Amino acid sequence: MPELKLKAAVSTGLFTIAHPEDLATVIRKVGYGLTRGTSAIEIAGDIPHEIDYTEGKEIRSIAEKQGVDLNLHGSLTIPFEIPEMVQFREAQDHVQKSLKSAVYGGCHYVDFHACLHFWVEMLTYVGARLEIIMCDWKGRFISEILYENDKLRKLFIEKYWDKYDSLILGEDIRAVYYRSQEEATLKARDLLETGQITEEELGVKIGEIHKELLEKYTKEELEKKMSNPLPEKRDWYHLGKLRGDYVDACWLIANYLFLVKDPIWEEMIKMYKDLMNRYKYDPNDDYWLYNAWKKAEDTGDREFKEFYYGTVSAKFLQGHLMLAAQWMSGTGIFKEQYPSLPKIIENELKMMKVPNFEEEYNELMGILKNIHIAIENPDARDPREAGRYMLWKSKQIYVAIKQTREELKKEGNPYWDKMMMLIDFEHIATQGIDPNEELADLVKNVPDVGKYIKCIHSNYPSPMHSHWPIELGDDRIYRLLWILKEAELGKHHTTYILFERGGFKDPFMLAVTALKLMIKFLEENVPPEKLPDEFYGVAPHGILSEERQWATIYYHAMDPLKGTLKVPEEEYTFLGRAAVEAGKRPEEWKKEELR
Amino acid sequence: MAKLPEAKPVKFPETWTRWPMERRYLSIDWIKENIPKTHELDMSLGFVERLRNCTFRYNPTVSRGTTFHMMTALLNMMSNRWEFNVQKVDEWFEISTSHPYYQSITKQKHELVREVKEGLAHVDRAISDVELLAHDARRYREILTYFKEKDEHSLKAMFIDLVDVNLPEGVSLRSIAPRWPTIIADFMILTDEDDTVEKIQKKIKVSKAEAVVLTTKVKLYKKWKDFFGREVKDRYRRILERLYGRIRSIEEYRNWLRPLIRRVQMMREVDDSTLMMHMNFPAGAGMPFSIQHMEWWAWNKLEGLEPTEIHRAPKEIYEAKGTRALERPTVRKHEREKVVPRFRVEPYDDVVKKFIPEIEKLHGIKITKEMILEARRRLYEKGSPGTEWYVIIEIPCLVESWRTPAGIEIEDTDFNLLSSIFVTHNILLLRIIEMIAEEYKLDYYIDELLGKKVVGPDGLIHEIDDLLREEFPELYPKEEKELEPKGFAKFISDVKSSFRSTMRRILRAINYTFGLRLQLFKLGPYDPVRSERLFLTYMRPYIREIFVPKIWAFMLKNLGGV
Repeated sequence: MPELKLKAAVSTGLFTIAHPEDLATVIRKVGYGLTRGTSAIEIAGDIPHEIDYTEGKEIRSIAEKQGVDLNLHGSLTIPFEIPEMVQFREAQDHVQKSLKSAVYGGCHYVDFHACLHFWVEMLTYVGARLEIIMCDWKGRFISEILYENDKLRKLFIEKYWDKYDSLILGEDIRAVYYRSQEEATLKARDLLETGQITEEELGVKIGEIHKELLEKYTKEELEKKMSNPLPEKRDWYHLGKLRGDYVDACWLIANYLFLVKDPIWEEMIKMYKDLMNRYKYDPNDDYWLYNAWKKAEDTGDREFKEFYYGTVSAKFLQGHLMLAAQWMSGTGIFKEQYPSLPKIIENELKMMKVPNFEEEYNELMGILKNIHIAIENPDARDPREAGRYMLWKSKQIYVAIKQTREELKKEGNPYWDKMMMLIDFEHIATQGIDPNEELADLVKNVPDVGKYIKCIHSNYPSPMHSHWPIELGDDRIYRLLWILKEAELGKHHTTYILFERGGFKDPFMLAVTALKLMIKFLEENVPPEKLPDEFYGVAPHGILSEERQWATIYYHAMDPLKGTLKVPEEEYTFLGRAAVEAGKRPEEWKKEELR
Repeated sequence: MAKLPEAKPVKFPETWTRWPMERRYLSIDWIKENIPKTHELDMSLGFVERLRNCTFRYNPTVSRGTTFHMMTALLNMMSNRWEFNVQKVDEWFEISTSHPYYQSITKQKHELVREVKEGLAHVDRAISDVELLAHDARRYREILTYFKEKDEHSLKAMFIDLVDVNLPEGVSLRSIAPRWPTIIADFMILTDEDDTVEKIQKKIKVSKAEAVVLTTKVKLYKKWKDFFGREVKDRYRRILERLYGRIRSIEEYRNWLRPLIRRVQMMREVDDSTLMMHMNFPAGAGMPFSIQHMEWWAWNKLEGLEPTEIHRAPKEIYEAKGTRALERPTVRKHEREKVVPRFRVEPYDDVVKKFIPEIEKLHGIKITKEMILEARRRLYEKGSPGTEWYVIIEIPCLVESWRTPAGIEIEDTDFNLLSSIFVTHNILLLRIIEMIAEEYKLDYYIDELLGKKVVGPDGLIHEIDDLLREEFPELYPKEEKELEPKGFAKFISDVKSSFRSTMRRILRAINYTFGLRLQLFKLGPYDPVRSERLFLTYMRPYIREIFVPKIWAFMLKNLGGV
């Protein structure tokens, strides 16, 4: 059996929740985590830019001396999934800040949640912009993909001409309107003159002809504008740009992916075979997705929407990750146009006149070279929307990660294999599904998913998201880990099995001991049904062992007689008084008595 | 809480002399006056007569130490040769401050007082220890009862709440309960045989994790139960040993204290002038002198016909502790006789019962059935069950000794009154009861000092239990039921006694009014025809053969004239 590369880890917890003193600075967070008995610590970042160079240097020194791996939980407010330009940039900004903090902190990975919001069709004013500038997964205005794909453009114009005519054409719509109106009037008069219509029917006829002509000319104009090769010419009316719609943006992205048979799309439909069969998937029918979406809307089909929004969000996630990878490697737009992370670090070090610049810079580059990005399945922040988040299914996240890797690999980006997954059992439970079912589904679809998993947040899967300490002998968590272990977890690279601390009087209790036992038995390939007593802590050397408990019980065996007796010597027995009078101290006698 | 009586002086001899000399016992003349009778010569319920020839005051003045020698020899002869039962019933002495021995006597007394105090402190500590040990013994007994009755529920509850609870958080059953809310109930269901995971899972259908924890707990519980049970048994034995040792030591302390307290009580301190006012010699203050008072009673049965028939003792005798067991048919006759001897004529009669309250008042203690039982037993052993005639010789002896200005040491002995008294055995029983009461007085005094007894509202010393019984009769019932007749039997008994007393009062009234000596029937068992039978059969032989030739002759020979 190949050796598993599993490490127990703990998280430090957030300062912003209860403002504990232990977590007031990053160094304090690391110090707190050091005392927990694991060889890896995940720093829970309260803010994206938490670790600067100065603090990071100290943290790295601590980690090196103590021999622990440091990791970072990045910003918790990244709207990866939102097809809106400003929020896209905000998301990318948080990613970059978190990455820089991770590099300064010497972290092995930085962890982001796959999405922030629930289905965009339900967004009202939950911290999202109401006036949106629709964008694609690269952060470009949506007009780009409409330009790039004829079928999408044709479909969009056919279905949305009346909603977006003025938004796209702006004042130009007037010319179209008046032209069609004039033509309609002339044609109607011709018909009147030819006796085909009466005087009373003239107005109606004008209206009918006007409507037809308006549609025809508007579509023509839209086509002309949106297919213009010059970006400034195909750009929408400036006010119209701001009047985007989340649902429409997702519609556009989804249809694009369908029409071009994007690899994410292709992978995703494999994950939803039964769903595709139900909807009679026809890749050659350009209207298939449009009709399927309409049907799902009419029937309220959650699974279809889960697939639909997941696919869109996966694409956006891919876009963000690719940009991040390019930023880290100084490729793509970060080659010439914008500063890359190495450049930024170099400039900062020079600005601060860091002594041993070369050494420091090389060390940081070394960290950067090996850093991973782990995408975690998100928790349902609003439990009312459990199961209706944009991208939360593990298999969907897998698709996004896998395709991101493929794309980066094609580009020759060195970080292609640094894109990983992070599975959080508790987050799965908050989405309203049994983690056993979710992981079984994942492993069924991806038998080697362990290759892509960097870390498991292995708390007890409580839908209440309590972060209750892992209890000794918790075979439910072991079963979940076992499922993933059977899917090659820990086989290919160091994988962290992490406990996320909560806010109780003792946030850890026996969690670390429990985790280490789980890792031990995973490494020994012991199935859950055959776990020995040691797993439950009752082996002779275990913390709950009979021998250890007996030591305490023996010491207190006579307690039922203590306190209820009035004879003061009972603490030390009657004979104890003789011993005290002979010169022994009472504590000595007590010890002797129990020997 | 039981109420203590209001402060009243305890009836024990004070160290200051009170003149005229205090009487510690009922006056025999007073007894004679108060025996129930229908006329002044009616002695059918009891006979008391001072022999005039043998009752006088004898006051020799002799050299110092002579009285001591004479009395020692006389008393030894009376008890050893002449078969009298001799008992010292009173003793005290006083010494003047100018006496050369005053300092040493006083010092001795103070030493005794100190020893008594220490002894009482020891007794008090021993009693406290007994209470504590008894409490501990109760606690251990309770636990041993759990083992005896195999009360697993209580043992397991003890284990969970007092022993297992000391384990760390997440290890003890009580702290695991939030994880498995039914784990404690599950643990209670399991037996000692359920010590494997499979057995537990099969029995109570729990998860493996819980079953593993329960398996460990069952094993630990079994181990603890064995260890704890052994220890409790051993310790219980040791505690009982210690408890009974302490109880025994209380008795021993009391026995050690008794002579010390008696000696302290004997040593009275008084100023010279008080003493001088009452002494019968021409001396002034500043002269060294001492007074010692002793009194003996010697009694014996009178020779005569002794029929052997005997009768069962009255019912109330069987109210005394230790007598109910005698009712069992398996008890042999001689064993029964040892505890409750039988007489031809029962000495414990209405006359004795009538005087008992007076004894109680005079001595300040309650006469119990046990004391009466003891008195009967002494009467039986030292007297005779067949005869009802006895003689008591009262020998009060007051010795005043001093040194004259010429340096001669003299003592003046006053036998006031040396009396020979003929009594029926019920009156003798009364005297014996008084002697026993006086013996018990010292014990009662010690108990009073220790708080076990208190002076009740009636002026008598009572057990604390009596006061508690009075306040809470339901909570402190009497241990043995009294054998009082009930219902129709009580009615008959009441009618009988009231008939007797009514007849007595009627006849008495007639006799005293008309100067008659009517007696329709003999009210008691004693022979009322005293002058012929008593004098000729008992008194004259006593005077001629015992008192004059032996006792009086001896005294005259050793102490001289009258």
